[in-house]
Amino acid sequence: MTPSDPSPSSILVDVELPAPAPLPPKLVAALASLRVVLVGWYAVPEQTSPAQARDQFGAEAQAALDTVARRFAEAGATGTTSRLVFTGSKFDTLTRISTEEDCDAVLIPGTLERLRRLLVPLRGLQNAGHIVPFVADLVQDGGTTNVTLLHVLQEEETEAGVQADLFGPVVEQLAAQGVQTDLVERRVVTTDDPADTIVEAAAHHDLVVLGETKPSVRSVLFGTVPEHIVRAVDLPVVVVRHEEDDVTVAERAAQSDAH
Amino acid sequence: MGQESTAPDRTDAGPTDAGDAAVGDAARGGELERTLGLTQALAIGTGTMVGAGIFVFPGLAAGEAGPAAMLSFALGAFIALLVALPTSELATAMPESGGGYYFVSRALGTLPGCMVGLGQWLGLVFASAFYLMGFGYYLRDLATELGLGVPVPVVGMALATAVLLTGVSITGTENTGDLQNWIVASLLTLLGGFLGHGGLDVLGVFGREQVPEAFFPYGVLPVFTTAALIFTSYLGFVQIATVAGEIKNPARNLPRSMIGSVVLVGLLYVLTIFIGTSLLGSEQLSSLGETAIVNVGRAIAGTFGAAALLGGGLLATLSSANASILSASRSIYALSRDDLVPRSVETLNKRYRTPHVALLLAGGPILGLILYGRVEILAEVASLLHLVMYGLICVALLVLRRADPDSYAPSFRCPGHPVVPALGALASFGLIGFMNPLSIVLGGLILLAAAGWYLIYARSVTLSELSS
Repeated sequence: MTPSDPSPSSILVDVELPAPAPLPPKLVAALASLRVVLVGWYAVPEQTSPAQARDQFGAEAQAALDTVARRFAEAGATGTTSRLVFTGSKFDTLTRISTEEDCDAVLIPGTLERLRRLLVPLRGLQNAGHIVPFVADLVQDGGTTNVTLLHVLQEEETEAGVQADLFGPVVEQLAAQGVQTDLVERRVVTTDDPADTIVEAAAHHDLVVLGETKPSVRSVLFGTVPEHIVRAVDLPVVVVRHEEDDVTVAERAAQSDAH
Repeated sequence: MGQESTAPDRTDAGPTDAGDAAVGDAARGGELERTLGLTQALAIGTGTMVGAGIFVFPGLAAGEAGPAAMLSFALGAFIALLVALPTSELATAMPESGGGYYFVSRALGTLPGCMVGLGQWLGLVFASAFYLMGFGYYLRDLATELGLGVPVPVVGMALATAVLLTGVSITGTENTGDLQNWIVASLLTLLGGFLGHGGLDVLGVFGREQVPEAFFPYGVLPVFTTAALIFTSYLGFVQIATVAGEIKNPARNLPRSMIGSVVLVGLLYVLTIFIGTSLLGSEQLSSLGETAIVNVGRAIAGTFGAAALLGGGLLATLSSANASILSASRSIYALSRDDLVPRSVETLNKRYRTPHVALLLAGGPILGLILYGRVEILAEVASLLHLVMYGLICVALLVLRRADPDSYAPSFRCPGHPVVPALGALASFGLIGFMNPLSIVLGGLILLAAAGWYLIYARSVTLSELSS
């Protein structure tokens, strides 16, 4: 998405039916500036035909999903899309809809009392290209949210280089999209364990916006870095999808297919 | 931004392209995710079939036809293939849950549909009882191998297992699909290893001498009667069509999984009989009964071989029985959706979200059938009920191709039309003629009862899309 694009970034929010876990009101409010794609999923065991579950539980599930949609509408969200799906695989459903609805990010809910400090770990410019427009759309509150940009120094990098080549353009773009630059903190750290460093930093923040990682040997063996962080952190985490995501999604779908 | 405000009660239709991942249906409130890939579809077909053909029938079949029993299995595979091709076309044209019942009721009308649907349900119930008896025999052999002095009651174990399986299907919310895949994969690996080694052994690679024997010790006719007997080993592929609504990319995966599973199990069956009769001779194989394959394993790899195939037999018969119970419950659901049986049958359990009534209607009759106890008759009646459906599926294809309604747009087209479906129908109906008279009488009575049910209960229902 380019800064001139008038439509806001989109986020997928999954809603487990028929009894969704309540979303913190502040989180609903924080997401209201985005185009929200609500995916209500109703888990169907393999003994049951999804059509059969829809016949019997469709009305109840739709009502529960509507209640959640109404909360977003009341918080000022516009253009919200609701999709109700009866599924034997939550993963398949969310993967499919995030592609179909062209979602920029996926929400992993957590507790949120107020949104004042946002943590944005960045790996590099390419990764930042997807995250920054999303952050700008999220922080449309007239300058009350602090944004911490965090970069873990790689072997071949210098701190000055990162400030100039990564944070420079990022802050410029944030400013161009209306974010007050005095609220942006730039942090470069040296560490052996990026995931743990991010988890530690998250303790002093209210929400984390992360980029999705591509499958790598490490991610196959130890789980992807976002997954590791999501499990360790109680905050809401927003995972921003890659553009080459179609490939990633296809690969992961193929993996789950093989199981 | 902002041009469209959210109406909270808005229902998004989602994609309506049925070939895609989900079937959108806004009017009925909600999309249905397709979650089964090619592997899972193959596992459903193979898992339902492999239990009977390898782990129960070899001894019985060799006793009837001698080494020529391998021709019986090959003939069975050929007939199954003649039916799998038309079924694939129909399933891609109507990727709806319900399978054979759905095609026949839409193309030929409600009465044949009702007979096929009730026949499929009862056929699966009969087959499941048969697999559970096989499971009981394997448990008994296990006790013998372990040297337990206690005699294991086969019928009692089969009954207990039927109750257990039904209970687990009703209350189990864990996804066992992965487990089923693992079971099928390990069975195929096990069989591949044994049959590969056994095959080389038979060919004299390891210096073994074959048991010399006439190929047709009992003449040619038993080849056909045995094919009728063992046809239960080829019921599984059509169960893939009963979950067609849940298969991803059905245009590609339905034909591949149906045809693939028939070819795969057919090869395994023929090879098993070839090796079994070569190593042990058909007389000895026959005297070993339902669990003869265990001794084939012993002949190939000693105690380890016997133990491995004993374990394989337990897994295979159990997985076939379980898959059949689940498919039987699906068949009943398809009937109730069309009001051919009371709607209350499809009620889902609120807590477990499972079709507890339909599952009980599958599991309950199994208990009675196990007590009846004549496994060969059970298997033949199951085959007969399916063969009637297979024949009518082929007829349904011939009728639909001729009528060619606008809504009929299969993405897979049966090759060799109209010869293949015509042969498929003739072969399916013809094979019934080689069955035991008692099986024919029992099967005929069941079909008559199904027709009677239609006349009494469901006469007002019209399902055919071709009528008028």
